[in-house]
Amino acid sequence: MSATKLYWRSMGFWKWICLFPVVMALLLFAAAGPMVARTEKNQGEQQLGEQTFTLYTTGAVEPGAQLQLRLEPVVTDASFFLKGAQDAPQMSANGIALFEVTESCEALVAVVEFQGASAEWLLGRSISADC
Amino acid sequence: MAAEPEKKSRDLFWFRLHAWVGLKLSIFMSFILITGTFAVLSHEIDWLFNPEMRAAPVDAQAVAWGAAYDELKHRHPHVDLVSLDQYPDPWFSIQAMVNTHWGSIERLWFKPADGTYKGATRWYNVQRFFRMTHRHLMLPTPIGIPIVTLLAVPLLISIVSGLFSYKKFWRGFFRRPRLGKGQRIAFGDLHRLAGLWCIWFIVLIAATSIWYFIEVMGGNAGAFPKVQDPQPRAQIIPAELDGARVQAMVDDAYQRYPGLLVRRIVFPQAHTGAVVVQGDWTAVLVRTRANSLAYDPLSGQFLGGYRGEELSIHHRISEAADPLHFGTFAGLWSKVPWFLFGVFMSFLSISGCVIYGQRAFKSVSRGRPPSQSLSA
Repeated sequence: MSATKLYWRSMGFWKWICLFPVVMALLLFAAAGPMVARTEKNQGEQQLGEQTFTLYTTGAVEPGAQLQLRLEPVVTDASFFLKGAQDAPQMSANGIALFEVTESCEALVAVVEFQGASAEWLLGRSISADC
Repeated sequence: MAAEPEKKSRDLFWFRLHAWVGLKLSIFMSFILITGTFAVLSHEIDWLFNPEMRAAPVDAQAVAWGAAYDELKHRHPHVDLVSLDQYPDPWFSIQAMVNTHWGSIERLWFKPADGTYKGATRWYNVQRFFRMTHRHLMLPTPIGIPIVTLLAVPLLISIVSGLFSYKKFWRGFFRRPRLGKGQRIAFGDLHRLAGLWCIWFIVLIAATSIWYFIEVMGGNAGAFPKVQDPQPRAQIIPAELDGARVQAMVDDAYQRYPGLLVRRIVFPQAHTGAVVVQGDWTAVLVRTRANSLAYDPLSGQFLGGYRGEELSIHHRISEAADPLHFGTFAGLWSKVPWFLFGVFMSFLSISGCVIYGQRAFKSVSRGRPPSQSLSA
């Protein structure tokens, strides 16, 4: 049996006690960046027609990234527009729209309801792109 | 006559204790020592990887804080500015730490000479990796810090038991390691030599770790001296606060504390917060926050300040812990020796395992159990 194997065996149960925090720290660090993109952010309230809506976003304003938008209370008969996105998908039944951010600069979310009333939320500029 | 076996048994106890602590905790201890070692030079590693962080050196009092602020507001008017930082080494760009509206933290970089925008880097970088894994294993700090800092206990046990089991250790400081007599002897000699020269460093690291443990358990120094409150305002960072006003605050700080080297400007995160200018001055072994001057973001009026020498003993101990633990008190001149001693400490942990493994191998080769190696 090699010296390395003997060392490994001699640690007994302690090797698992030692490995646990080390592996956990590495995994948590690997997950920490992506976790930011998965956290929903409250972008504030705006008046749309006669009602006040809150916009929530999940994801970053970055070229190539996916940005999820959600309105509360849920409204399905309205359209989302995102400046900096390629197309404007319709909202799902639970009031969520998913955008692919393709342009690099300012991200402005506009919501237009069927009667023509609209509201805007300015999310800011992409940090990574040269705007 | 009875004294000799008793002494032998005592020596064996210290040796076994030294080997047991070193062996059983070797993986975790090595991880913390290696990440801590690299944490010392982690800003410099990031500097090598990211051209945005590099800048032509300028005199510390000529740093264009106001121009950098204006450039930031022009480029990214929607981010929430946390702070502007200038690292002590002059070849770093000015760093703006910002929060975006989609929840990420970013670093924006500006030329110290004229505030020109240089680019952005992620908040998660090499420095954050080594800092956060070393400090609290990425766990919530009330859980992670005690786990890591309690390693000070086995560190101290290792040094005490090592000295007791190394006969006449004081003769070993200048003993040449026998490198040509086999791997085990070479590792053993280098382990003892590095251990002796690292005694002061191990004690220092263990002592500061124990202090961090005390702090996280509630023994922290508490709030800094109070300054006046700024006047009420509608916005957290008012539109009136522009680069010229930021620069005026810095210039005022230079006049009030002649010789101050401004390192950081902290911006308010609430409607009641002030702009705080911080820097290095005459007090030794303190962080930059020990010398602070607060200003009203709306009017630019000076609200009060304090210098390192005015802080309580409790604060001074707390402020000294980081510079001593990471060797940041003299910039690169102290960080390089701290890094090297960190390498030696990491080597102690790893070489101890190599020595154990080879001793155990020798025992097994002779038909004895591996544990017999601890009686050698």
